[in-house]
Parts: sequence; C-alpha cells; structure tokens
Amino acid sequence: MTKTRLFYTAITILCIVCSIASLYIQNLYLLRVFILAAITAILALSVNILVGYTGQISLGHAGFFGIGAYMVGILNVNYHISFWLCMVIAVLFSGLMGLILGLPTTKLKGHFLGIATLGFGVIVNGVLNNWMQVTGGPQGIRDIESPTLFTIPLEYGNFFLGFIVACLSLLVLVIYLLIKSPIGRAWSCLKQDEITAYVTGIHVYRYKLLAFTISGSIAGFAGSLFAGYMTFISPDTFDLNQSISIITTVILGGSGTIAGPLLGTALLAFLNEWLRNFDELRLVIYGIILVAVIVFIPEGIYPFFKNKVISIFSKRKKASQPNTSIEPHAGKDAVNE
Amino acid sequence: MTELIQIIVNGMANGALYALIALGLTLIYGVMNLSNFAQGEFAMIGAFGTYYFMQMHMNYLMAMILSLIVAGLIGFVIHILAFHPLRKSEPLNMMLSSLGVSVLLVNLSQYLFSPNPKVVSNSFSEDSIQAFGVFLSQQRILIVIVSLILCGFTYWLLERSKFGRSVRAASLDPDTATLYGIPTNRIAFITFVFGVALTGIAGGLTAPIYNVYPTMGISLTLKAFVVVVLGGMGNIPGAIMGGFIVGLIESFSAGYVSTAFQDVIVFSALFLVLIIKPEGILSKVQGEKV
Repeated sequence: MTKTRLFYTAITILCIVCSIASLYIQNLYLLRVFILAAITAILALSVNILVGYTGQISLGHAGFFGIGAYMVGILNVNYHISFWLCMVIAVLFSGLMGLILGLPTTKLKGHFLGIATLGFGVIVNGVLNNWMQVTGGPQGIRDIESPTLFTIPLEYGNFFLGFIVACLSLLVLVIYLLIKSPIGRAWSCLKQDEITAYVTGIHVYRYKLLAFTISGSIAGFAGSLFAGYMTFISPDTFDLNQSISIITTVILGGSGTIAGPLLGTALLAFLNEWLRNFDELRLVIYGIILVAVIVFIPEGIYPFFKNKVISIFSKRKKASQPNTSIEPHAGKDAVNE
Repeated sequence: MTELIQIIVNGMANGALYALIALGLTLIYGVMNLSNFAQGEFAMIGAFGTYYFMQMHMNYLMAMILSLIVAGLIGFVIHILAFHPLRKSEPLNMMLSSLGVSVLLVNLSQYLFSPNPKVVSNSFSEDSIQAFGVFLSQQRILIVIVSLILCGFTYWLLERSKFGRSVRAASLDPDTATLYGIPTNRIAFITFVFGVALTGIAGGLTAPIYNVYPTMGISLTLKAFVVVVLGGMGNIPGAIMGGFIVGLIESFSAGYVSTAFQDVIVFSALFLVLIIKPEGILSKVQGEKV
C-alpha cells in the first residue's frame, strides 16, 4: 500500500504545484493555450465516461458544451443571475439534456448511436444559430460576467488557470472514485457485454442513462467555464468539428484510461499550436497525423507506451519464463463463431 | 396547390441525389462495417473534377465520367492508406479514420482550389420546363433519371450478378465467405471504390445546381447518414425511399417553416424514427446474437 499511497501523494502534490505555478506564468499567449487546453481536457474526460468506460459513442458532445456555455450566457446577460448560480444551473441543465438524449439513444448501438448523437449536436447547433430572440444567433452573446471567487477576480488569466487546474484535478479525482465504485464496475461490465451484464442483474438501461447524464453535466461544466473565461460565446465554437475533435482527443490519447484523454489533450494542444507554422496546410497535416496515429496506434498513445514500458521491464524480469499469453483476438473469434 | 406541387417536385429531385450518395454509403457500410464520414467529400471531389474538366472545354458528360474516375482513384488510394490496415480493428477506429480523411480532403481542397465557390453551368441548368405552373430545371430531371438508373443498376448488380452474390456473402459474414473462397479483401476494395465513385457522380450532378466549394460535402454526408438510418443500414430500396423522404422533409420545412431550421427538422425526424423503429423503416427485424 505504501507504494500506491506514495503515488497518490505525488499526484496530489503535482496538481497543487501546477495550480500554484500557473499564477506565475507571464506569457499571455501561453496562458490562453493552457486554459483552453484545460477546458478541452474536461470535455475529453466527459466523453471518456461514455466512450471509454461505458462503450458508447458520442459525436455530439459539442451540444452539451454549447448548452452549458449558453445557459451561463443567457442567464447571466439577460437575467443578471450571478455567475456561480448560473454555473450550477448550467451543469444541472446539461445533465438533464444528457438524460433526455439518453432516453431514446441508450437503446441504440454502434453506428446508429453515433449518428443519433451526431444529430443531437447538429440540432443544438442549429437552434443556437437560429433562435435569434434567445441565443442571439450567429452574433452570439457578449459581455458575460467574469467570475469572482472569494474576492479573487478570475478575469486575470493566471487566477483563472489556477482555478481551472484545481477544477480539473478535482474532476479527475471524482471520476477515478466513480470508476472504482460499483457504478464504474457496472459500466465496465456492460461495456464488455450488455447481455451478460443484464443477466448478471445490472440494470443496463439505467446505468447507461446515468453515464449520459454525468457525461452531459461534465461537458456543461466545461461549457460554463468556457463562457466565464471568454466572456463571449458564438455558435461556431459548438459545431460538429468541435464534437469530432473532442472524441478524437479521447481516442488518440487512449480511451478507457484517465491519463489517456489528458495526454491526448496535451499532445493535440501542442500539435495545434506547432502546426500554426504551416498556415494554410495546418489542418491538412492535422488530418494526416490523425489518420496515421489511428492506423498505426489504434489503441491510443497512452496504452501503447504503457504496454511498451511494461514489456521492456517484464522482459528483463521474466526472460526465462515461457510466454503463455493468448492473443486476445484469437480467443474472441473462437467464442463468437 | 402549385406551390405544394413545386415543393414536392423539388424535394423529390434533392431526394434522388441524397439516395445516390446514401447508396454508396450503405454499400460501404454493408461490406466494410464502416460509417464513412468522408463520403460527402467524394461528392466534393466529383464536383470539383467536373468544374475543372469543363474548364478544359470538355462537355458535361465527359467531365462527369472523368471526375468519377478521379473520385474512384482517390478512393482507392485512401482505402489502401486509411481503411485497409484497420479492417480487423474496431469499427470506431475506422470511423475516426474516416473523420481524419474528411478533415484532410476538405482542407486540401481548400488549399488547392481556394474556398471561393465556383459556378458550373451546362446546357441543362439554364433551361427549365414548365408544366401545370410548376418550374423544373432540366438539371433536376437529369439528377432524378441518373440517380434512379444508377440505383437500379446497383440493385441489379447486387441481387443478380455473381459479383453481387459475393458482395452479399462478404457483408453477411466475412469469415465464412473467405472460407468459401470469396476474396473478401478484394471485394471490400471494389465496393469502396464503387461506392465512392457513385458519390462522385452525385457531386458532378449537383455542381450545376449548387455552387462548388470545399465544404460542400459535409452537409451531404450528414444527409446521407440520415437517409441510411431511415432506410436501414445496408438496404438499397430503403436508401432510395429514405432519400426521397429526407428530400421531401427538407423541402417541406423550407417551404412552410424556415430554411434555417431545415437541418434541425431533418435530424428531429431522424430521432423520431430511431425512437419508434431503430432498425430503419424498411428493414426486417433481426434478433441479437448472444
């Protein structure tokens, strides 16, 4: 136990150091990149609950992101409700939307689920773009109040970054606890095989709904943070490309792990900034890298390197032992046929 | 009354186009188990091909044939690089790979051809027929005719020919098909190129009606997916019917509600179908294998 305890202590200290260190970053450009990356990381974690732990697909997560951001924008600007109350309402409301989306879609699987969630994203984007009276249409909403936390004004990038890193760390903890709880075990069971889960007595439908609700509310939380940081929101941020880039982040990093989406976010944020050197070819190269990574490392970057490291160490230790592991695909095929 | 007929006629013309794109999509889905999000991009390639070949003073028909060949060739290369290596991998990975291909193709064409819309005009697009007070451009009639012919041809190919039998076998159960000596990998190749070329034709057909620009494929992909889900995955008559349904919903919502909410209404209809009958309107119910 001491080893794992040491590990957790190290991670906690790392999070605290990160939060404090963020107060001393002077470069405004860097601050912006870090804050947006942290928001993307929260989104990636929320998609990971669906894709990685429950075995569902969401191609419309920008919808939840947008709902969260617009809830804050509309309530704050039109009704002058304080930012924190708006945030709570936004999180609850996007969770509710997750539940509502889940009601019909939890009965779907695979490609159908993908297309249905994609439809959700398109519908939300269409409503944001065209419901002029409430959402302001393509012009979006301006002048959202910057939040103040215990008299600390978060409109300064440093404070906001510190706050958001703290939020991210807390969220990672919460998700970790959730995954280790009976709920997480039920999720991983129904990810492996729904029928088996059903036979075991897991209420598959309810657990999937729960996953949609939690995932939606976390994405809404990311949206409300985004609204608080940018103070200006418009529908372009919450389009199909956003949904796609969120799920790409998760898959590239490695779905079903906590470190995977975080690593994916960090790599893609870095890649995006680095590719700015290429101007117009930026997204072309992005597309090529995306395809290349999926073709060569389909399981994701984090599990790939983790397995590499493990295999290097285990080779030294167990060089004499015969290899008894069975290739997973061989067994799976034999069972299915 | 004439307004209603006009709306129906326009909807049918668009529907035929969606059916053609969805046909390629549903074929590829059936054989490769791939939701190809880059499908609309091949329509874009077909449209750009038609534009540039017509710039070289070829006639419309010649330009379309050449651009369908170009779309097929690009599809071939993409299949080798992006999809063939993933054939044993999870469907989700293939789907993401197709998303990457879509990003790549859209932005490459933006880089090469500039984002400005281009106008293709042929002899069909200027003339229109007027009957019972309804206007219909010859191009739209051409779209309906070509789409129906191609759908019919594909249906015949799948149901009656030897090649079609092996395609159906490969889509039912690739492993068993391989045991019976059917080259499933080659079938997947041919199906992908064929499906993509069909979409290329669809792109060439839309070019004179709508402008040609790099992001034109994205909305076509979305529509084609709605069509495929409505009609049932891997179901050709379903795809044709779904195409007409989507086209009609779209033109009715444009005519009576608003053009802005067109996509919202189409996708809401999709949700409705998914809630009531998740297997698609025309498909037979299949039990799940345990």
